Amino acid sequence: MTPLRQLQALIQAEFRHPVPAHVGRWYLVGGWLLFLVALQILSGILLMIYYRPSPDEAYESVRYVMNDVRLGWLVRGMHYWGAHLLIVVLVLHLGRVYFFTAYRERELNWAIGLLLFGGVGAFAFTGMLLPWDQQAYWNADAVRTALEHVPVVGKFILELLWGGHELETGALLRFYIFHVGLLPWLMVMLLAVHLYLVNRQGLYSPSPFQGEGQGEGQSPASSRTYHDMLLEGLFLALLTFGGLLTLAVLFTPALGEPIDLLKPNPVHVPWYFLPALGFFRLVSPDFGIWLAGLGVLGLFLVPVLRVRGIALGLGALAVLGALALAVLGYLSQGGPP
Amino acid sequence: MNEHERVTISDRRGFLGKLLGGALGLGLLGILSTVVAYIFPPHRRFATPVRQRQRVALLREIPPGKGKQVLFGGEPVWVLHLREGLIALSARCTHQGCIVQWDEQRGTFACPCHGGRFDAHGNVLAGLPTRPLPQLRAEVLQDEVYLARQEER
Repeated sequence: MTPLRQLQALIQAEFRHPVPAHVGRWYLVGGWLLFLVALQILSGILLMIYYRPSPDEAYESVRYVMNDVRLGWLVRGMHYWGAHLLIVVLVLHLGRVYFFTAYRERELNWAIGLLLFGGVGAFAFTGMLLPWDQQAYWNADAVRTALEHVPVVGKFILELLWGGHELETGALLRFYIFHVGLLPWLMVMLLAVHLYLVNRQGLYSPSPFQGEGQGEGQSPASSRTYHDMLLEGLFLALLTFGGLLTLAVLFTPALGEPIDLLKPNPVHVPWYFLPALGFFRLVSPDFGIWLAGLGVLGLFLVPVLRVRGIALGLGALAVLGALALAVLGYLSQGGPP
Repeated sequence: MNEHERVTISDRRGFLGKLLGGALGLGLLGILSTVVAYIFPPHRRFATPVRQRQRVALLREIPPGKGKQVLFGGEPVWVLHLREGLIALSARCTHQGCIVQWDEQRGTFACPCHGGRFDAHGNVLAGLPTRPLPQLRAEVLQDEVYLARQEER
């Protein structure tokens, strides 16, 4: 056998292992995320070819991609809709791990997953600013105001991200560096550790409806193999790609108006930031920052505290609360854009 | 199942496999050609736009009676705070393009190169220049001074 054949045989043997019975289709969500991340990286690299991170050129360069570059609108559309879908799938993934209590005995990986979740939020925020249109400017301005209320680290983050208190050349360049330089490296490294730990610790987590202590080893094998799972994943990836292509063609993301500070603030935040907007409309920023910080700390500590029943209840409450806050945020900004 | 049926099934599987492979290959070709078409720059090259409106100073930096030289689109501009409000004039002398200086005592602009003089509104008072200094539009928004282009006089 040639080395290539040997490798092929090895992989095939590996994929012929049966999947534990509790591993349902929900477990494809992690892989689905991975596919979307890869798609974002590829389309992002393509967008970097024409984007110019200076306040004078940023808006025009995005318009150039949309109007002049061959199929530029399609590439930007894929990146735009890919980002939206990534956030949806990420919330599903997090929800799956949380409500199936799959974080048990995986405290470190849960924490890394939460960091990755925060990282995607940072990606969404910095990415939203890059077209440098009215909406980008005013959303960046709103976050700047919020950061000014964060005790101790707020000013520090502001200096680091904004390069001062003004939204000028320095700020846009910094957002760009975070979006295409710093965050991708950080995320890929965290993702590598995340996947390594998943691989090392194995797929564990009977659904909450099953009894305690039914970890791997005790879980009976199903008739599905990892090969079947891979095929299902590939099928899902194909569907996703087709779906994103359709969205990009039918709902090509429009570019907002160029920044004009003499025009009123349009205040339209993307849907995924609506709960945050609603939250800060409800409580004062000074208090809200502490409350949000406490919530985040609680999330990190969930696997350590071993309060499964309470955590499930709180989680369900948090989901309902986030939905209500999103509605509040949506109403407070005065209807659709 | 006789030999003939077995052959037909394997043929059918092979055919379907090839069909699927071909379809995937075509899809990949589509993606690849999109990427190639995108990467090659389009006919119209990107041109840096001229910014219409730009913040140049804080109002408190220019107290009444004073003037401040700022940059607008890379060009030097004088912003004066006169009794009637802010006035923005190109700092380039219309004679040879030297940078004029604001003389606070006399309330005039003086060109250091050939002695041209302009009044606070850019009109020629003395010397070789024949055209007034081009004026720009100055606006104040929340203690910040913005400049915008306006038709030359």
